[in-house]
Amino acid sequence: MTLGATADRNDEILVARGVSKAFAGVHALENVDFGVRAGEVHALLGENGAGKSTLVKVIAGVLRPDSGAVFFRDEPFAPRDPDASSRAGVGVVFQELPLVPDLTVMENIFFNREPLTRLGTVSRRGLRVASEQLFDRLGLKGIRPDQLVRDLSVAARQFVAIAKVLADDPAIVVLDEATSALGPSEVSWLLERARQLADEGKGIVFISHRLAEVQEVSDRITVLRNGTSVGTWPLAETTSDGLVSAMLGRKLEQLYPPRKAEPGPTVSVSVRGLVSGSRLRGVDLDLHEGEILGICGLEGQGQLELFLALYGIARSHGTITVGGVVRHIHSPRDAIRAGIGLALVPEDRKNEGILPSLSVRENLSLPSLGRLDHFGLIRREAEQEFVSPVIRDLQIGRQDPEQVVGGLSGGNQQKVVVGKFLLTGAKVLLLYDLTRGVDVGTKAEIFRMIEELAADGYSFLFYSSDLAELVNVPHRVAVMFDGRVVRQFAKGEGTQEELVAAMVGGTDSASGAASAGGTRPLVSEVDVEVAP
Amino acid sequence: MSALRATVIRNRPVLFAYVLLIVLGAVGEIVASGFLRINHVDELIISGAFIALVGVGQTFVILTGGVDLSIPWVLNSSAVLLTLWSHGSSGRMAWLTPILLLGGAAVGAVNGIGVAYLRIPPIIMTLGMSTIVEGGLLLYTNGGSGSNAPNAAVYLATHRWGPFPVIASVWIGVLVVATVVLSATPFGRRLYATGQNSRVATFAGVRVTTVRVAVYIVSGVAASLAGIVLAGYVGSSYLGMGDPYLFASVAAVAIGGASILGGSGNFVGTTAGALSLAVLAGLLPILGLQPAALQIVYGCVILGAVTLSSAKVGARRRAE
Amino acid sequence: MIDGVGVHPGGGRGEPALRRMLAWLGPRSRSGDIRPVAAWVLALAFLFTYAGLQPGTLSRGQIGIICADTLSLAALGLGQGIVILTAGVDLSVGGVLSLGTAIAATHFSNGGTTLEWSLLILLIGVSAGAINGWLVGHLGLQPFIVTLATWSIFDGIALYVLPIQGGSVPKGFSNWINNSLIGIPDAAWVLIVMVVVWLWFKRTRVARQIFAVGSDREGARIAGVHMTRTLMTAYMISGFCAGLAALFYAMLTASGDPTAGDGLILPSVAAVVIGGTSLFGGQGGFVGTVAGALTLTLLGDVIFAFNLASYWTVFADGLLLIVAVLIGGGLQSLQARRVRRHA
Repeated sequence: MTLGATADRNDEILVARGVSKAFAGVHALENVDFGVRAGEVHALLGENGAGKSTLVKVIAGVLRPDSGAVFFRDEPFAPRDPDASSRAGVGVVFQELPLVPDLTVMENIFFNREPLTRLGTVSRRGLRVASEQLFDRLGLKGIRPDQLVRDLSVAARQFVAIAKVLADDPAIVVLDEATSALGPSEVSWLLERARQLADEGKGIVFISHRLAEVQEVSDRITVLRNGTSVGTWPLAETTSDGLVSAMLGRKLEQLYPPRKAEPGPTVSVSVRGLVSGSRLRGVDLDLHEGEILGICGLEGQGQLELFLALYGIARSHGTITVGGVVRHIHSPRDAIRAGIGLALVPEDRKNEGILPSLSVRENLSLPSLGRLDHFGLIRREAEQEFVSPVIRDLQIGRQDPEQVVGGLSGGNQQKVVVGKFLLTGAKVLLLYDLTRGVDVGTKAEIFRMIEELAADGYSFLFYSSDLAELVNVPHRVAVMFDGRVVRQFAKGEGTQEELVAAMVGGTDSASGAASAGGTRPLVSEVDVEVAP
Repeated sequence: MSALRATVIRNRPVLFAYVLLIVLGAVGEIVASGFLRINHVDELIISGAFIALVGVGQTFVILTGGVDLSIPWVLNSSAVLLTLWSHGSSGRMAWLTPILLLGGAAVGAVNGIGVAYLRIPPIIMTLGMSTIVEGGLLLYTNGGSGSNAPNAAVYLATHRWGPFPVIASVWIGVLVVATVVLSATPFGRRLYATGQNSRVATFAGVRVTTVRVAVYIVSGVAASLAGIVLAGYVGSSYLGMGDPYLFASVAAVAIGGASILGGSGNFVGTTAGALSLAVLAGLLPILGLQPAALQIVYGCVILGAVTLSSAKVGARRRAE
Repeated sequence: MIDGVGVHPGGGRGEPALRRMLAWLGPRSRSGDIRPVAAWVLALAFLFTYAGLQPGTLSRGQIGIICADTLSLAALGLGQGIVILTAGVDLSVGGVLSLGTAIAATHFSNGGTTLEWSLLILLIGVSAGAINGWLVGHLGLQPFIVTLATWSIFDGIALYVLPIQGGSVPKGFSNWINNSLIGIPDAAWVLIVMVVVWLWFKRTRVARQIFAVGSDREGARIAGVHMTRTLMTAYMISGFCAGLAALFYAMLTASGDPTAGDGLILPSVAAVVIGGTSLFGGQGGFVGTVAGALTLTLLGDVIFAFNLASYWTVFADGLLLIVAVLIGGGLQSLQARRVRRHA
């Protein structure tokens, strides 16, 4: 992993200076400096919500900074949109892939740059030739240029998006979480390609929250935390420990609350042979009273389907027993009646649990309206009385039931999502990636709430895309692979390394390391820091 | 107290609709003195009532994020069948009315099933149903229309108790019922939830499909009722009498401050919208404009209202 | 190294000949969309049914008449289809058509020349489209509410121009549609030209952008589509086509009708949907729409040939639209499932 050979190391060709950006008064970026040299891979490391994607969007012209500016080759750089940015030499591979499903691969790659015939029509032959050349250059096999993007897998789409950016031959390539949808071998291909592009003299910005990948590929590392830049260091000057504490900051001590209680002996939910579609292929699980059971796995191993099936959204077969009674759950209504609640943060991060322009009261009572039905009417006072204990216990906002939910902070909105199911009498709560894109303070608040509710006898199924959370929050972790639970770890048993090994299919740790890249277990480091 | 303030804030567009109504009324009085005398106001209320009646259904549908384009021909069928079957007899009207309302409900149910279960876009489903109902009516009547409207219908539509039009009491009744249903029943709450975000509503255990079918049924019944009353007002029925009410119903809802995307608005606003449209229609002849101008006004009003509300949404989004 | 990254859904070299053929026939169907083919099968079935009932249908003269009858609907469908490709809908074509026929019937033989007034009608259509497109593209308003409003506005103007059905157009103008050129009826020529123009248009960059907007609005925006410009183009084409349809309509009826358009909105959408264009945007094309328009025209003829009341046509149009949406959706999900199974 030697440094790029040719370029002048002090010559940063893309520079962001003092960039600030706030949304609704909350700083997503605050006075951030960041620079990329030709010939280097510069990693941008940070937790979800640290501001990485916001910085990328500012650079590519999707967002305009509130203050500060971006310079490219010493000129002020403010492209109208990502397309203009790419044409100017700064190509960004966004997390949200800018691909059009009903166009073919080649039409997507050369969108708006299509070779034309004399009649002004798009030359399909020209497109095909150009994309085949491009694929050859990149060593990309297995994708036909005339396939519809609609028919491609997520990983293949990721490669098309990368090819699309490289087609413009940009001087700077930004890869925003480009590895998150890829399997181990694909990840290592991508890392090699990034290295190669840097060696060709391009500046690469590599964004990831996977420490191992970053350490494998980058020359310099900038760590963002809560919208501010913690610092920039050459790889050689960093240690894993140092980077982790830079990412997490001092808040770490309070991030995971102390364990309040251990699960009871009673099984609250028992799942046997749960099958749904092609993704969920027979899951057996026991969830105890007062237990937080973590669910982990790579993308698309059936975690989402498990949650959807348990909540009656996805059609499923198998036995679900709640509180000793077999339940047939075919709709969310059935699930709520069985005492199950669901808080789901979907892939696109739009909140699926709240109605933003309605009040806290109206949001909280929505699933329980039947109970408030008084000869066909809802009595306002009865409703107030009904929701107030939850508002008080979970400390939602400024504890005003009439507050509009859209005006609450992210953490308080999540409390509303969970709170409305507490009101239905649910004792089992399914939390799907509830902390995604949430800042550290809010996370701590959510974890504290979960811990307290667990101590009160509520049971949780807890999925997170963040491994560190899965190691620290649950009592027990179940690893899913290919639609089944392949391993279970009791608290303290699973290091991040072991989890990763199980996640990639229970093969030996050597292949697990392909994606983990020989990381030292992040978990133990975190534990060490929390211990004193 | 806070609840009251929140209600006021949430209903700002509705208040705006009433301000518009007052302004239009004032303009009328200025342009032609006597515009607001009791007799003329009565007329405005009566012509507004038909818009309000179709508007109540359209309000319910639009609140869930849909739209009902089948209103004109449901209205028309109801009017034609009433005059055709009753032969002007009020006694027959007594048993015909429930049948016609049920017919409206049936058309609404088909619309609702198409939209909710078969997932056909509302515009397409209701446009298709509109044509099917139109074709059905034409086939049944062979292109003719009925005779005189029953006296009871005429009474309902045109009679006044002193200065007070009978139909205004119908309107007030509908206003009270619709407002209570929307603001104080579990169904109303579920309806708003469905319109705001049907996935969130589903996840919260709301049977979104049922809600959708129900609102189209409400719309069908309301359109059918409007047809009965309108036949009374005209004194008979003719083909095409429902046509203006498509634009009018949507315009009334739009002026009334409801979001065309669903989830916000109410019938109190639509009431102001219906009255405003009636006042506008009353102003046109005074300004020397042909009736055709009414169509143009409807269009401009709809455009103005949705542009205004989208500008507000845009401003809020930018602020966030 | 990364062999197997690209998944091979439904195809590759082993693609069955039939599917490849369908893919070639379909307007935009590299994954073998069978919807437009189904539309043509339906249209031909109607044609032969009609021919069975009315001997002489397949004569040159009769085909010319069928083409002439189809013309205004096909023109409306061309524009409507392009708007539907953007996942929108254009209800204002009704108003533009009404206004167009009203102008034709009052002004063509009344001062000015036919050509000048025809150009004015087309210009009105384009302006209507520009307004619609700007409101939808720039302000992000819902297509149906915007075009509902402009429909009402243009209907109102039409009533100003021509309060009731009537008026007339010059003989030379209305006769043109019945003439023929080198043995092929003019109406058929127009249809052919429209198809050729479409086949050219769908391969242009603008068309790619229109498909992209309908397929994935956000994705298209990030990929560099100028939303306002693209949507304005789509709606302006639709307005232009509605103006064209108004001219054809005036030729056919030799008079004007200020409410003519109201009855053609649903058929215009129906022709597009029967032709296999997805109401959700991004998939479809005019080749299928022509079949849809032919089907709807022949439907009326078949009903007439069965001695049924002409009102059956109205009824059947509505039913056909809903059924076509259902079948189209069904075919699409079937296809998607097949592709997924291969994946």
